[in-house]
Amino acid sequence: MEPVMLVEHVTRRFGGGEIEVVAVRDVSLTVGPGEIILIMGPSGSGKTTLLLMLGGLLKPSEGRIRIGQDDLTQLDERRLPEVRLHRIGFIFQDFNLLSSLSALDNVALVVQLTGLSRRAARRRARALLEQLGVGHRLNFLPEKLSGGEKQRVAIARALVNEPDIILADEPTANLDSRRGQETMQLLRRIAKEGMRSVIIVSHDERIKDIADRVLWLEDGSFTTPPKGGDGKGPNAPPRDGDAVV
Amino acid sequence: MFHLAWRNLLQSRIQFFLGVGGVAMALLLMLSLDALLAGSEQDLVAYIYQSGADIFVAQEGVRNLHMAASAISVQDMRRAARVEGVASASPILYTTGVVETDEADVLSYIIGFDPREPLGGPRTVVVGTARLKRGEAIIDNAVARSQGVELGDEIEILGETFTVVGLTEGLTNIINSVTFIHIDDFRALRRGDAISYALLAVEPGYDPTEVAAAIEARNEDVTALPREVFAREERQIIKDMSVEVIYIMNLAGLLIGLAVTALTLYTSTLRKRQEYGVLKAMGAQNRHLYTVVAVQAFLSLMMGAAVAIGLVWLMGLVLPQVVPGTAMALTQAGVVRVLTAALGIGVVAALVPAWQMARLDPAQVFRS
Repeated sequence: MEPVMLVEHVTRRFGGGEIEVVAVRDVSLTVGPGEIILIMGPSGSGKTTLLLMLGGLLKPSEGRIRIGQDDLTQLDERRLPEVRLHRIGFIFQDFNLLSSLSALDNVALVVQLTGLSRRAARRRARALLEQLGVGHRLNFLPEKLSGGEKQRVAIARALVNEPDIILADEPTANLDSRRGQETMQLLRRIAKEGMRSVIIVSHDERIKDIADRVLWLEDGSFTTPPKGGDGKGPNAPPRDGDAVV
Repeated sequence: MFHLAWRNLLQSRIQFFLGVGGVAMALLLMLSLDALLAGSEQDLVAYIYQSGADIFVAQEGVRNLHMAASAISVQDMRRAARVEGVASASPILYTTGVVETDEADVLSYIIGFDPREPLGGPRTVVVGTARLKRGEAIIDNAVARSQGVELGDEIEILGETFTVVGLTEGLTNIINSVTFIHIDDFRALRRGDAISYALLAVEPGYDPTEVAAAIEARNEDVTALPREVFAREERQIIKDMSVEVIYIMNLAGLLIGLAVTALTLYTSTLRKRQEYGVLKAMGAQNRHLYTVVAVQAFLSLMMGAAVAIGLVWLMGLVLPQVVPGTAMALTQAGVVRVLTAALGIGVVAALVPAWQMARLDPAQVFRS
């Protein structure tokens, strides 16, 4: 099956000369349709830098990242937002909902960016929010929502344009254990139903269960996990260049 | 994006009211001065319109009343009266002087008119009579109210005592008032046979402009102007006298409006930096974000302008009641000028936030 995302020998350097820092070093990764990958690693290991590159928000110093036929490393800066809008969904650590908009409008706005009318966008957003169990909170501002509800709205926002891949940055960091588990199970279910791939960057060991593969990133490279980690994602067939743990 | 801009604008009520209020005050500064001058212009020419004259004949080169000294002979007036199309010619004597009441001195146009003549006298006497005799005067109601003068009271005009027998309406403006006395009294004070202006009525079917030109063609010692031209020249005096004040006040209003709007937009953009970064990360183009800033600027400025226009309109109703002799007239030109200024402010004020947006790195959302 055609991979959704192909990452080939990606390296990212910051600075130059003696102060050069290699944040990500020769990372390769293949993401299949509907696959859920959890990338773990200590602070400063390069997880966020990698996520930024996967999301087309940062250019690699070397290597290639492809989503379908689009090569993110070659795309013009003006084309990148379009690719992000249609092919990538983002879930942020702090939910990052727009504080002045209701739950419904937060989701609908992303659809409107594609050029759809506000009415059509709201219709689509409403259906998704109801599917995610927050249909009773459509007109609530983010400040009136619980952490779990905010995260569901954030998930709806990431899914609403039916992207090929969803990138989640520490999605459970602001949720308690139970809500974190529930939300991630929900994300897994929705992703699997729509055959959408998910890459999660997290410190949270408790969400290993939802991942098809768990990768350990340290010093910018995929490597073996530290002692004590169970090192196994549930269905984790190794792929070229992946350091599967 | 319109909805987001609107919601962002209303999110912080205090900031919203401060922003719109600040803009409104700045535009009010511009518009109120404009309205005050427009009102003054209207009031200043009230006598010209109320006199009933179609043409004003003055000494050659004199084109208005305010601060002008005109002297023509009775023969000049008669020559003008003989021109085809002239129905009647009435003389007036005119000077700017002080009307002394028990309360204070009031600057006034002093008009000496002949009650037997069809033109020149007051046409809006609301109390008393317009048929004054020698030793009598007619003053404006606003002056009477402000100075506590009633019919039968004595006032001093050009050093002589007169009894008030009538009160007019609408002949007091921010600069002065209009006071009428008998032409013979005026002549006695001035000594001499000259008159200041001849006020002409034109027969139906004749064009005052053509008649005025014919009068000038016959007598090069006089200037004859149709009422509209004479009034325009009078208004121009006010404009010329106030052009620098207008310029300074407009500039002040423009700068205050710009500062308020720019600061409001800048702080709003700064406060929403993270959220705009999220939008960019999710695929919003710069033009989407520019739209948010532009709509916010446009809405707050238009609301500010609407508030300013509303306030000036209200002031126009209230001010003449509170301060007699003042008038505010909201003109189309004034409103257009303020709206144009508001748009200009919006464009300039949105530049910095737009630049901030353009430079905003969406990756910062993940680093925060």
